[in-house]
Amino acid sequence: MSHDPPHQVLGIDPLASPAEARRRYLELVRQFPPDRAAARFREIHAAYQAFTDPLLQAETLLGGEGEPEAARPWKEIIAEAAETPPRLDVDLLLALGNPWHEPEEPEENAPGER
Amino acid sequence: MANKKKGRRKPPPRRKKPRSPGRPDAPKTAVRSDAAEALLRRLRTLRVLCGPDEHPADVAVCHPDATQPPDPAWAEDVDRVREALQAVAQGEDERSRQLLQALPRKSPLSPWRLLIAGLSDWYRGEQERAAAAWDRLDPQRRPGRIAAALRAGEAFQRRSERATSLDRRAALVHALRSERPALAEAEQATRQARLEDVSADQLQWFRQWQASWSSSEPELVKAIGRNLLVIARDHPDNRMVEQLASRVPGPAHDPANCLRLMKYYELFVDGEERIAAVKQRYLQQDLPACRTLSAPVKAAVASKLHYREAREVAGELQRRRNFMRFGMGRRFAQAEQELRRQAERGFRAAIEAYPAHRQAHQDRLRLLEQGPLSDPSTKAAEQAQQARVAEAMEQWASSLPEDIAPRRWLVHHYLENDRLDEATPHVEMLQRQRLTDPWGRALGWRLALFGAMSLARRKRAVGQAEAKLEEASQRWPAWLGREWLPFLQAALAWRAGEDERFAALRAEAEAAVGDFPLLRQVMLYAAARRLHLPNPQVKPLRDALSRMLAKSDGLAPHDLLKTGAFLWDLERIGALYPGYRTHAGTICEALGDELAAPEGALSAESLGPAALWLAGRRFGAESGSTRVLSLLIAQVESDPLVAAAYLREHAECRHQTKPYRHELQAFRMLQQRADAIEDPFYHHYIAELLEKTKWLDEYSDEAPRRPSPSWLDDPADLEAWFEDEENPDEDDTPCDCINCRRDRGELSDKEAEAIEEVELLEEALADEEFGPHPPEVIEMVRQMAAALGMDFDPDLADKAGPASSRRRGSRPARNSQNARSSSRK
Repeated sequence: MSHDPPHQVLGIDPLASPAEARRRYLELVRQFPPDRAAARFREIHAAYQAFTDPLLQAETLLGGEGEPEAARPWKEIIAEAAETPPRLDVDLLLALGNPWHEPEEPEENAPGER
Repeated sequence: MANKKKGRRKPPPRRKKPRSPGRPDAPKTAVRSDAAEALLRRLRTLRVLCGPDEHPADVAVCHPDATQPPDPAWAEDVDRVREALQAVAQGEDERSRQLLQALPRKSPLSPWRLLIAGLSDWYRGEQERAAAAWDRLDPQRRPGRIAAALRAGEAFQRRSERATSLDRRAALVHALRSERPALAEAEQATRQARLEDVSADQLQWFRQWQASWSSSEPELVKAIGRNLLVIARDHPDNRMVEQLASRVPGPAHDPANCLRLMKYYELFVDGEERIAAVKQRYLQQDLPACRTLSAPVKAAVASKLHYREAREVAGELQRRRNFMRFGMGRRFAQAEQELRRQAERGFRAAIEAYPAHRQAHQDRLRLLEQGPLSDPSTKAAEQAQQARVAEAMEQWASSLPEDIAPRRWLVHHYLENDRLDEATPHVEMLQRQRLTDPWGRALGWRLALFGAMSLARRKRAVGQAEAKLEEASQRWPAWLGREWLPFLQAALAWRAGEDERFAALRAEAEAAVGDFPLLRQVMLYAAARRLHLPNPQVKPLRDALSRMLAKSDGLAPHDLLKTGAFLWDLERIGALYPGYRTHAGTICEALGDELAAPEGALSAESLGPAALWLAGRRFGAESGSTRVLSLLIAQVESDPLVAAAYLREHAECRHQTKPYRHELQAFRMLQQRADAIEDPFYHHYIAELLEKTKWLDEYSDEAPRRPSPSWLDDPADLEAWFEDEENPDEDDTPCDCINCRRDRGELSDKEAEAIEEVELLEEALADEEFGPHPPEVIEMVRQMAAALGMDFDPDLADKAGPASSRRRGSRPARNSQNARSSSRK
């Protein structure tokens, strides 16, 4: 089952209204009906239930009361991070669009150059 | 050998200091690669710059505070674009898409929509889709230049000749997204770190590494930091966790990791103050400021937090009550009051934060219904408690209007207390729900019956009361006997002052009931009291009843039985027998004596309804009712109503976690026969009872009684040993130990009760979830067992802890001084 927040699974704004959530839920159910995509349907259904039940969402956000969280192996964390390159932050992204002829840096090697 | 030259002794040869095997190595990041250094330098000096020919809309996006957009309508669009850029940077693609949906197509900012849409696809690896959007961008505008740099970064290859601006930006993108020196550094550092330890060196490394890479690799930094936080939980120095918690960004609703800290401080014996401080920060600052959670979810989170804390306090309260129940806990009485207040406050806070939190309502009510053990068992105390419960039920009903349980309780409570006006809206609400159970379908009848009772308060309204009673008569449920109705009619005539009519109606009613003087007297007395007849009329009836019960051994057994059944009917109606504090105990005792008599007259009768009344525990003779029900064990297998009574008796007694004797037997029997019960009331009643006691389903059939003496493995072996008739040389003298006598049914009631008490206490002591227990408690239980000749489990002595209580599973207070000093910072 997905551990992503319910709004992400449904692909809606976290502040979406219940009506919007329901609309999106029905759209997704048409795309992934239970007889053809059972696992995905279950995920969507669980996400919809959690989204429309604030107490369920709260339970997920607060985490369980059972056994304390165990540390993950470092290799696993590194491997997972390696699969997903980082998204660029806003200022860096905007800076990539500086005019071509503006002086950006001193005449030293830029990253990637030798 | 001494140094001859200077007269000093030659020092012994020095050995090399052995390498300590246990100390984890500090992460070896002393040498940062040139590429990483260059990248960091580049990142530090990078600025967002606008050219003189820059489109004003693009300038507004780059510097929203510095410039005023030429068109005021853009201000909102600029904010939307920036928010969408932020959303996509944080992985919230759908949110970014929705933010930009409102952007007009012809807006000068619409290229940003194309860029951001393509960006979402590009980050997800859908290059073709990204290209489809970006191909439509004007290369002279900033969105076009950004897209070009990103695409060039994807296809970046190092060149030896002088790089252009585009090349340099492509190199930057490539370094950040493909080469990722931050990842290499993390991999190197973590490869050498032992998983089970976080040292000061590692913390230092993390600080520096995080400072370098937190803006360009936020997710990686978060993941590493969170794992360190988890590992640091077991570190003896609590400052480690606190420092990490302040550095590692938590989730959106808890950026300062308050929830994690709260769980951490639970390990401390003296952690309450710190938990309270962190909780306050979370609830009053971080959670309200979270922009990615809706208001209802935030409220639910706050509610859950209060609820969990209240439940823990309520659990502690229950553990203390288990000891107080047996008169051991005068010292606990004050603590009980304080714990009760705390738990009640917690549940109220949970409900206030999120009124639709059903579990909080239910648990709060469970707490209120239990009542403090130190409260006197008086009418005033009971009424005060009922008032508190009623208030809580009203709150539940108004917070969750569709819920049936609180409204049912309130209808019962208001009708019982002659508050018809307050009952009516709940009755109407329940009737709208079209309940199918017998009680629900009889709501209209009950309202009419209690309406008649209420009207009878005023002599002038007796005519209306009679009309109401007639209405109730028309709607009388089929599952309830009508014997009491004539008594009500007679009492109303008496209330109206029509003595002759009263006498005639009374004679008719009594003739219909038959030759059961006690039953007739109780019915008339109940009718007179419920219809508020004045004391001069009621007193003779009460006195006659008291005289009858004073000679209870002269009462006919069937008369007692039928009276018990009538009292059960009153309970079914929801009309408490007015004399429950005075007569009911005597009736219960008398019934018990009759049942206990060898070859008694009641042995072949169906005792079901009377047994159900006995199980109600609505009067002071609680131990009497337990005794009586223990006499009915033989009928548990054959009579479903006796089985139901037995289950009902113990359903609320949840201060032990294993079934009482024969409770499981009763449960299984009812499970098998429930569907065949035709009476609609009992069919529904037993179904509800089974639902309430369904926890019994988890226990095996070997559970009903405690194990035999330790020198036998299997209780069956004891029986087999005594039943061995093949070897006449075996000593046939039965064992006289208390367990064998119990097995043979030779114990007196007092002995049986005393054993059950000790077994209960031993079970509470042995429960792994709770403890350690004060040594004086364990010693007292040991002495009680010894007095009865019972074996006391020597392992229980190991459950002793210090006299003061600790948190569950807590470790000794650690670094309290350090924690205090760090908390002052």
